[in-house]
Amino acid sequence: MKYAHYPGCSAHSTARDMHESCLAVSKALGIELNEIKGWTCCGASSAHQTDRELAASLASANLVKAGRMGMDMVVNCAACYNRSKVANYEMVHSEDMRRAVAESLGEPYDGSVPVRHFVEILLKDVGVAALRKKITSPLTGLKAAAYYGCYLVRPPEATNFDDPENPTILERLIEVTGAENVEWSGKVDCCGGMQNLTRTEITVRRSAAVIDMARAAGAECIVVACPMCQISLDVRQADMEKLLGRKYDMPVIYLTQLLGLALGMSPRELGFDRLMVDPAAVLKARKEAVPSRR
Amino acid sequence: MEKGQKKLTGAVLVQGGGIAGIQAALDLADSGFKVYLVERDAAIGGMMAHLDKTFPTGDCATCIVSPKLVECARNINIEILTLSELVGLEGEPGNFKAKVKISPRYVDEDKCTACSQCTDVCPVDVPNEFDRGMGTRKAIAKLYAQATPNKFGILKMGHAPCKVACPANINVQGYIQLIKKKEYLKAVNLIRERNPLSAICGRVCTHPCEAECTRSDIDAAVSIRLLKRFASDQEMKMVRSGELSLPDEVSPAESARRIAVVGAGPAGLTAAADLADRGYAVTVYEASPQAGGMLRWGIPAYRLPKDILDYEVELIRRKGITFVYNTRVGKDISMDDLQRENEAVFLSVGTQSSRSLGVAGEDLPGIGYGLDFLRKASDKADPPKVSGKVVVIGGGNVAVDVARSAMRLGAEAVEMVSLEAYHEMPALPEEIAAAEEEGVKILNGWGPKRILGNGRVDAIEFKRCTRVFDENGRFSPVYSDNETTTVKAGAVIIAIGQAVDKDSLGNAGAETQGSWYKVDNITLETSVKGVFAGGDDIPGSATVIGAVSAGKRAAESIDRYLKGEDMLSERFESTVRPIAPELLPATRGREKMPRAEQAILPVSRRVGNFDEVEEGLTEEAALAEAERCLNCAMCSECRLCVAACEQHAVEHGMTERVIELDVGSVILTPGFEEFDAAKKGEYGYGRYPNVITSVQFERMLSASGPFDGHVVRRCDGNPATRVAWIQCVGSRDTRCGNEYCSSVCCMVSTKQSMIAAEHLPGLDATIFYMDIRAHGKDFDQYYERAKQQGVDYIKGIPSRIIQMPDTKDLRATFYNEAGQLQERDFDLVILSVGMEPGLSAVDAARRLNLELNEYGFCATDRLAPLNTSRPGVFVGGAFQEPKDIPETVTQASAAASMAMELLAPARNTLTVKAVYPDEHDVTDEEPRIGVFICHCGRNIASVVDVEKVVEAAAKEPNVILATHTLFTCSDTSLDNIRETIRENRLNRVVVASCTPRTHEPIFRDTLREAGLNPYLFEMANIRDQCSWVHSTVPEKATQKSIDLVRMSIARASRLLPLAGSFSDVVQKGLVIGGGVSGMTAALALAEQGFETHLVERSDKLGGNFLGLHYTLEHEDVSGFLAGLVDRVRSSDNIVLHMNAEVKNVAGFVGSFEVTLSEKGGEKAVPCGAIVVATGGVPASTEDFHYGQSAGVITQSELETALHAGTFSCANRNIVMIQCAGSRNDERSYCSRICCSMAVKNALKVKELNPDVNVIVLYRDIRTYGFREKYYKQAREAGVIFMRYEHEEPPVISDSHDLVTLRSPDFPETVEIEADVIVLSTGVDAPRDNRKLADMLKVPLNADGFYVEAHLKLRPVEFATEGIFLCGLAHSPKMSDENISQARAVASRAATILSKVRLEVGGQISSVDQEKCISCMTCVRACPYHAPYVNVNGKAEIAAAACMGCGICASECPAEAIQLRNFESAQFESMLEALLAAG
Repeated sequence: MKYAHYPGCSAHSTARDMHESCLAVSKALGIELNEIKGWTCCGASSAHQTDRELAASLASANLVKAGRMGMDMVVNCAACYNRSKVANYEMVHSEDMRRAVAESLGEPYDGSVPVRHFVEILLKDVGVAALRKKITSPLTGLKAAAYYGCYLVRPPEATNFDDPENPTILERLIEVTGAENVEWSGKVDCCGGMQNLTRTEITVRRSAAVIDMARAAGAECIVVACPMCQISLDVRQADMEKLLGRKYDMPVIYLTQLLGLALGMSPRELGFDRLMVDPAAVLKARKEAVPSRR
Repeated sequence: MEKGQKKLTGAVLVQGGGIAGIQAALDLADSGFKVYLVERDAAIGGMMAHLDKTFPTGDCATCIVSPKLVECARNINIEILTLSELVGLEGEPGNFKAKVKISPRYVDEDKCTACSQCTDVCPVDVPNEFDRGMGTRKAIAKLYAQATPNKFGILKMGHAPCKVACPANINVQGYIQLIKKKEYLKAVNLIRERNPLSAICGRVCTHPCEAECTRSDIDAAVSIRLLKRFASDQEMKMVRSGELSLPDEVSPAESARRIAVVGAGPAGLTAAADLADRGYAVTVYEASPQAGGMLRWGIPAYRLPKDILDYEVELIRRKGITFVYNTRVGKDISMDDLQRENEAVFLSVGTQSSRSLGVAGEDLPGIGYGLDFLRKASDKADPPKVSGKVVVIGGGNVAVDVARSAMRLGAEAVEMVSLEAYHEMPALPEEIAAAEEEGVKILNGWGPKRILGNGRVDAIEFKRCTRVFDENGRFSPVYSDNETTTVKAGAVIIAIGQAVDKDSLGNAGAETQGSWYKVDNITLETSVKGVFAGGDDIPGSATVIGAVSAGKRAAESIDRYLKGEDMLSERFESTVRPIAPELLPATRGREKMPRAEQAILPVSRRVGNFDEVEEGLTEEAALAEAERCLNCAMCSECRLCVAACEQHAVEHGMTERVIELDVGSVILTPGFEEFDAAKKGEYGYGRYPNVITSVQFERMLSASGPFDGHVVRRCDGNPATRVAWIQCVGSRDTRCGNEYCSSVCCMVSTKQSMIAAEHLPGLDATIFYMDIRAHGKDFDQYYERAKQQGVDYIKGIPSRIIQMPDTKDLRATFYNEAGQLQERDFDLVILSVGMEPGLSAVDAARRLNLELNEYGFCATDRLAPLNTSRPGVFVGGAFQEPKDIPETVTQASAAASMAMELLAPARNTLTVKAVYPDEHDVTDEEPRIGVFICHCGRNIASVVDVEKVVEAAAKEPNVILATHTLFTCSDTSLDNIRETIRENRLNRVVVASCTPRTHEPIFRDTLREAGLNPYLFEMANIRDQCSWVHSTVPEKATQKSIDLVRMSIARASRLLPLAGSFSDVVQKGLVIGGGVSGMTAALALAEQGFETHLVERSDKLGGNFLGLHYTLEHEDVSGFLAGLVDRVRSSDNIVLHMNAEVKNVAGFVGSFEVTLSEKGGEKAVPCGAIVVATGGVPASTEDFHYGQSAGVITQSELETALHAGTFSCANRNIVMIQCAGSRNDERSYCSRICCSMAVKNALKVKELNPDVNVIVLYRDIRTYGFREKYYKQAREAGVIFMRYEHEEPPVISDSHDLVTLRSPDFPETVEIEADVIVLSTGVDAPRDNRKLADMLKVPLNADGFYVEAHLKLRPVEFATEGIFLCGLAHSPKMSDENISQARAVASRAATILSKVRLEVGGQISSVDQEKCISCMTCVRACPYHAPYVNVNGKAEIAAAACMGCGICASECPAEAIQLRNFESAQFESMLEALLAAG
């Protein structure tokens, strides 16, 4: 299992916990992540809203590099994933875009380098059966709400991630950890992440609504695979309390963190100390390590 | 009508047994053709059988379809083939060879009496597909309550993964189900069919089955091994307590052929048992003094107690097997001797020698080997002495057994050293865990380097093993010599594997392969003919169950070998059919259930003894565990149904077969499948229990459905008071691929909302829609009524549904008409799913090389709607285009007419008539009654004391004989009834059993066969009315049964034979109206060979079609009309009456006389059937200033101008106004055609000049079916559609150049400049319809259109027999629909015209001429116009017209009318009998 790894900027800033837990889990599972040398911005922040050709070119530049490595490109940030997938889609479907990108890159690109999200690797390449064998500290009894947001699943024709209305990849991985999924309707709702810095109140209200619904469904934590969602839901809880006058206290953790715990890793190496909301509930659920057997 | 020289086949295959197939079959069979009705399901009835009510009449769907089902089943010229599919068609029109694949029902239809005893005992619940997964049914069941044929069937998916994974293929699912039913002995017997070592394997099996258990995806695998043990233990318990005796010892027959088995291990025991069961004389040679092999010497007693082994060996011995102990083959007896004395030999010598390490120091004292150690340890009398620290080398089950045994024998410490990492160890995890519990230490990842010691072992040096298995999983250890460790040891036991003893291997003379025998992988035959080998002495898994499997396989081979049969083909293994993974039960979202736990001996009590550690499951735990089984294969083949069926109808071994049928034509009516609502994920179907489909809601509304007709929230069963319907789920939706409109859903939801409100008063109904398409006859009125009753119609489709976490309410998000985003909560959301062509229908069509259209439906042409692309193959119903029931039934009849036209010369060549003996004259006889009381298996007899009923019946007057039978309707019982009638000269028969609905025709037939008039039969329903409804009070049920039977006997005494009569048929048709409908009907009749008179009032044929120039699909339709007229004019069988009008109609069905006034004066035309095809007229209006300006025209006028090229394209703005003069108080109906016409003309304008603005002002766009495509095209072409509401119609300025519009979709009033205003005015009924209606005595509706006999199922005929209607005379509709109706009429009329004479039923009314007071009440009351006033001024009934409904008899004030067979005196006698009893 060797992949060209595209960390994206969040891996080195707001989502270091995501990055760290991803690397730790990869190591434990024998997933070889080879960081793409000289990777650059994927175009997620502002390029795609201002210049489609620029956005496609930025993403394609990285894809071309990954393609030279002869491996699938694995991405952990949902926004990077989305940009790369959309770029691939545009390369395949639009001749004009192909031409424009070829011009700016100085070489042609046909959209053929496979882009995979890390959770897809976990589910499809490692597989539930193999994961189960490695679980040493099951999180039995922990009630988790899987939250996808929008970048992973939309637009479905480009991301082709899972059922866009009812994705279940995260749930299947949560099940492996021994935690229990709560059934809820909010998993592909918008967290308002795109307005996080410009019209913060929208983000705060949207994210609060997501947390409210997860809590009403019985969740003790929200499990995410997107750094934008994580920030909106986790970091903004202080603002929610200010704006809405009630406590939130909902841990929002990455799937890789949850899985790492169940694999017996320490909270520190999984970046738990970087979370804003105390993940005590999650950590408490961890059962003492039992020796692994088949 | 030249059809060539070749003889045509007078049979038709109808594929699809829904309402369309049923109608086509009935039409064909009733007019002289043999029909094969081929249905994929287990019963006919199709979608209609699922429905609760039908719109707009609110008729119960079952009530109207059931009689058709029974009629079909009773028709001797219809052969119903269920579970069948048309898979191939060769030949040419008129002479096809059709291949039909018939899947097994596993129940013999001829034997099944539908008593339901199989269902009662079936332990397997499966999701009820008929109820669309709501609720469950049994694996053996009827498809639905009224299923026709009334037969049970079994649902099998193949074999469960557990059975497939088991090396011996034990029916695991089956025995688990038997345990669930507490049938423990049956469970053990089922296990023993594949494994005689049930109790043993219940203890020591490595259970590969559990690894494959589907349940492990939910929580954990079913504890299969322990369930097997539990069942076996129950048997042993019963034997020990004396409750059950051991089976008798049997001996093989003298002549039995002799077989030798070498080795009494599991493989040898199994082969011996199997061969003895097959009747062979088997001798088992065993080297040791006792049987069991490795089971005895290799498995410690704490895992497998010896008495368990002895018990099962004894069971095997009793099969007549001779055991010869202490005899080693090759030493005590030679192989040659064995082969000489026996016809076959099975070698199962097992492995006796342990493998050695091959390292330095292995020969030191203190070193032993696993098997030797275990063998010694099993010797109770002289166990080996163990002390100090014991090191066991090896990581397999033997190593664990050694370690645990050593612990028990007194070792201070035991350490296992295994090459493999902990999780790679080959021993069973539970065994490893038990060893650790007992104190065994395990060292992983080390391989022995050398053994150290001086005179005696005292330590072992190990080297690191870095890898045990290579990439392909093969054993290929890699060591790191530098890394070593030394372990102290007082004793070392090496348990790294076993091998076959070299001597044993050598002396058989068979070829070897490594250290094993070389055998054929399938037959297990060695290189020596007649010598087979299996078990541990051949390569493969060395497990008990593996050995059992080898024994079974060898036995099968030996049996075949001795019988001289092929040893390779169709072996048992080939009967094991794995289930495709996608068909396994869904595991996501299922409730978790903990795996059963057994009690185990505490560790403290295990030391120093070999007591059994596991205690097995308690009964409670076992029953709970059995419930965890998911029944992957549906039917578990537990065979409880086989035992329960007293008719011996269940046959699990049935297989698929393919038959070939000779047919002249094929009609496809496969229907549709509903859209998979899960594809619209935004509505949460499949996730939220309260989101259901419209088909599921039909089942919910149905009284026989899973909710008994209650409208409830599925999540909690509470009443669902807030219900929403979402329209167009899977229709009019380019994203999901279905661009077309499914035509019926709007009305379905409207109906459902009205019916639901009846079920749950106060129900709050909301329908979200795009356009309400109420385009059918009387539909718009129905829609208006729904609105008046408070159904909230919201134009707009919710973007999504979410389920609120706490209340489970469903929240819909949508835009309201004011453009505001809204949320509303509901209890139930019903997705109005569209129609799709069924996958199997599409497959079948492809196999038949039929063209499909862009949506996957059968491709047809609008002007030839019944023709597929293959001549001789016709189509009808929803597979042609989504449509409602009446259009479906119409097309079915029409397709039947197509087949009749093709096969006319072969009519009556393949049909049969039932022949009965002459009727015995009973007129002067005293009643001699025979009474037959039915047990219906246990259905009646378990509640009603049948013998008591017989006793009471026997005492009644005139009863010659009363008796009871297990199943009165079975073939043997019917034979018996016939015989009894003859022997006892019975002249009346009473049967007390189930319902006359299904069974009366069978018994009446039996009477006819015995030479009795069928009306001398009377039936009492003591099942439904006694044993079913009073099941809790058997005594009262018995008393009621007696009362009912006495009443029936009383009535029977007064029954009279009724003779039907015959009336001759004039085999000629008469069609009134020379439009496309009339011409088509006339031509269809003429093609069928009937002389047909076509009456046209004008001097021109063509009717309204003359004003039609192009359609949406056809650029030019004049050629079609010209062709039709030409064919009519040149037909030999058509007599044209131009400029002629009907003046008078006399007579009745089969014998009408129609008087025409035509050029040469009046002329009387005799005919057997009359067709009304008088058409409609373009509606006129005074609204919207029509007639006041040349700038305001109708769509027809626009079309004519466009066609003629006189329409000026200089016009900039064309405004079309829909529903001009329609859907209002004055004309309440929708004219159905106008929306398509507007779209057609708008597209034409755009085609001629794209710059012209076309603005269509509409209320609902009703481009139903595939016409939706053109609505989309129009929008794409730039045609603007703007909505208005009835209350606020557009206003035209006095100058006719400005239209002012208040649209609910815009906040402001819109003003549109209009160069031309085009009105869609619709279709009107001709004013003079009344005149003809009066002459024909047929009704008109409020709008002036003719009224058919039944809106749904008799759409092209009048209630008055012999008179038919089609085309616009019926209601406004499209050309293709008119053509279908016209052909349908020809088919229906042929059921009369094809007969020389009509049989008139005996059960009709008659008037006592003395009593008649000539009041005319009956004449007015009769819906069929049967009574008339005769020459004496008295009423008389026209027998041929009488339907036997009895309305006249009940209305007659003078009581002068009696309905035969329901005469007052007969009922009075019943009442007397009842009251006399009280």
